[in-house]
Amino acid sequence: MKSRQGITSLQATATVVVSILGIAVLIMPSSASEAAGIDGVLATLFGGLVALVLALTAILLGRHYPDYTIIEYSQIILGRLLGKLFGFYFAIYAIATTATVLRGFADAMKVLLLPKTPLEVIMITMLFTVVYQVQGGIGTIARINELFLPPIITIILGLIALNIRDVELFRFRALLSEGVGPIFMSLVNISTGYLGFEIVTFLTPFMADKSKLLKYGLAGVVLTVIVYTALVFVVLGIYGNKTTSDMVYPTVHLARRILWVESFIERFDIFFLTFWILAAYTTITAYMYMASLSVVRLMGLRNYKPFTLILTPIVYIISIIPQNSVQFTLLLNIISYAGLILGFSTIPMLVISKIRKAGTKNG
Amino acid sequence: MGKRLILTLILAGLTLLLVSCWDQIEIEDQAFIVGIALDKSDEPGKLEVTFQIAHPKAFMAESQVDEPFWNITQVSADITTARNELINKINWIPTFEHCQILLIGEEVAKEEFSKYLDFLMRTFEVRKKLLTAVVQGKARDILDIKFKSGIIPSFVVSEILNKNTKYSFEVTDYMHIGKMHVAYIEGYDFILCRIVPLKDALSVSGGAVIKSFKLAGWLSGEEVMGARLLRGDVESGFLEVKLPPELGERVILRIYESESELEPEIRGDKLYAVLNVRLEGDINEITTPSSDLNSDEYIKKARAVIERNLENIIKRTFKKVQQEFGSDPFRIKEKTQSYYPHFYKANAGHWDEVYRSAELEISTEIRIRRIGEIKNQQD
Repeated sequence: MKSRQGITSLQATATVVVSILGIAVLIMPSSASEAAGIDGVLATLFGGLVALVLALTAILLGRHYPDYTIIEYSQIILGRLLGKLFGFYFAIYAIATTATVLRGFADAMKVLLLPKTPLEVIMITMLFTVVYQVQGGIGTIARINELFLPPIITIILGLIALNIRDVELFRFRALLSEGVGPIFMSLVNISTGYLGFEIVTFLTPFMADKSKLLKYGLAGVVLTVIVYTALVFVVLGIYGNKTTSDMVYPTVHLARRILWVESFIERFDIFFLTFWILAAYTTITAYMYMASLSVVRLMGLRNYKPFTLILTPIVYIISIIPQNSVQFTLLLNIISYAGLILGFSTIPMLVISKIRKAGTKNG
Repeated sequence: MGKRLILTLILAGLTLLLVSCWDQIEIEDQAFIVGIALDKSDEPGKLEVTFQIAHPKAFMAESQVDEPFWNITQVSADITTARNELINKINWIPTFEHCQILLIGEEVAKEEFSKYLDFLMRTFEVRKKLLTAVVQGKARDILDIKFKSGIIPSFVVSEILNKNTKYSFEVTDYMHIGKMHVAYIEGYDFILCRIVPLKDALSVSGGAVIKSFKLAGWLSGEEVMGARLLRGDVESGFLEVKLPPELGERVILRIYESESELEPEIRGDKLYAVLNVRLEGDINEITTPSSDLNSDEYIKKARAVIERNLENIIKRTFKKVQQEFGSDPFRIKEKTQSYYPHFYKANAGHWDEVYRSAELEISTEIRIRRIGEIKNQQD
């Protein structure tokens, strides 16, 4: 047994997938159809390609500095002050996202499974489990992700498979009837659903084989693109775009449709949600890990474990700020766009570091 | 090592304290509402909401209960209020989680009943495949019937709707609460199953055409078959056709394969509904056939007669619903929106006129595959 902590290639794929699949699984179809109507299917596909490109640049950037995370190499690329500011922005974003996902998870749990359990209790139990997990380090997180990936993917694909018979293909005849305009306009909005791929900027230093992150990390993004596109396809094919936009949790609706009288399968939604908890849990863990690590690295320290505990109350306080579902959606939108800015920021950084490299070679 | 053991024991003990179920409700404490019936009340603007509550023990196998279910009628503004008033009357907590069927009384169906359905569409308690039917008469009567084939009426009715649609063309289970949500959002018309209460029995056949959530008119069993062919959700069933004297008296076909697809088409500025029907079946019964059944010629002739007959049924249904009711439960609007989004957008303002002037074109193909065990050879 090697004592060195190293993430295997498969664990990298799993980490990327389960970090992306979180609360967006529940709301992706309605946000897609709200943004692009029936073209939401294509928008989800192309939005995924945007996320794929962003993940690609992030991984390529990471390759230049294989021993650092984005917090450190941003300081090398952008200079000390700008780099620190960027790192600070990243830390704030990661903390806020942890809190938002936590709240979204707790809200969904309260509405769908535990109507009488106080929201605070759901959030605190989840938060403590996450903190415990993050204390274990990235190796443990990666192993857990690898373990949770099959059930998460199986339950979502199962949901799709059980409903695909009811998809009415004629609805997709209206695809592109408005031209490519709606798809293009909604790309930015949709690609926020793929946030979570930022985890790749933290993975490189911990990989057992650093060269494999590109292939296996991107495979993770591709897998989520397939899952999301299929999900949006099924929901839009069954309900049409107007009704899908009208739903709060369209994916749960999909689960609630399943009913086999003969075999006594009723209330598939509870079954689905039980596995969805795993997806929410792994997403919160990923962000909590990014948050603690970025705060610590920003201070130039090595051991992030005590900081996880310091961040816990901050995360909790942010997550109880929204007073209702409207305010929560606002918070979700803010952090989504903040995350997207972060995702796009790797492109100029990659360009700068390429120019620098070329410069050092010539001079 | 001893310290560790103590720590483990303390932690194990703590988990016992920490784990609790806020949401646990004992099964004996729940009142399972398995059916809802909506009728008009004598009080103006109020509903008579009847809940069928199943005894929890009725769910368990091998248990004998004297009274497996009972009905409670509540006069109130809507279903939610009725449920809340129910809490004051029984010592159990009502839950809709196992609700099987929603029955709408004729009088309620005549007014815009979407306002009563908001709770059922909004809540997470009711499952999306809650079947809905309109009762020609009082909805409550159905829940009072004593069945021999099943103990609880709600289960019997939902099973009829669920299963019998696969064996009969004249029953439709097409709509449930999830699809009604779609109809509500998009403004589609639809057909609900009709239930006729008889003395100590019921008959599920025919349909109620619902236009903007108001009962527009009734369809007979045969017309429901026409509507289902137009809508394209036929499965299998029996088709009875009168034959001309040279062929026999009448024939009943058992259809086991069916395909029907309605597609809108725009020619010029006019909307056409093009229907392709393809049925495949065996002769199930034929009364006094006058010639050899086992001949190609006979099959051909019978086919032509049956095809013409079927086309007539479909045309009659279409005309009745389109002209008399001014309603479109055949999803022509929905399909035009997808097939010709630009045409629909241009005509959305006066869609009713466009639909009323739409013409139906049918092409049917009936394949008689087998004639059964008897050849009816003539000398």
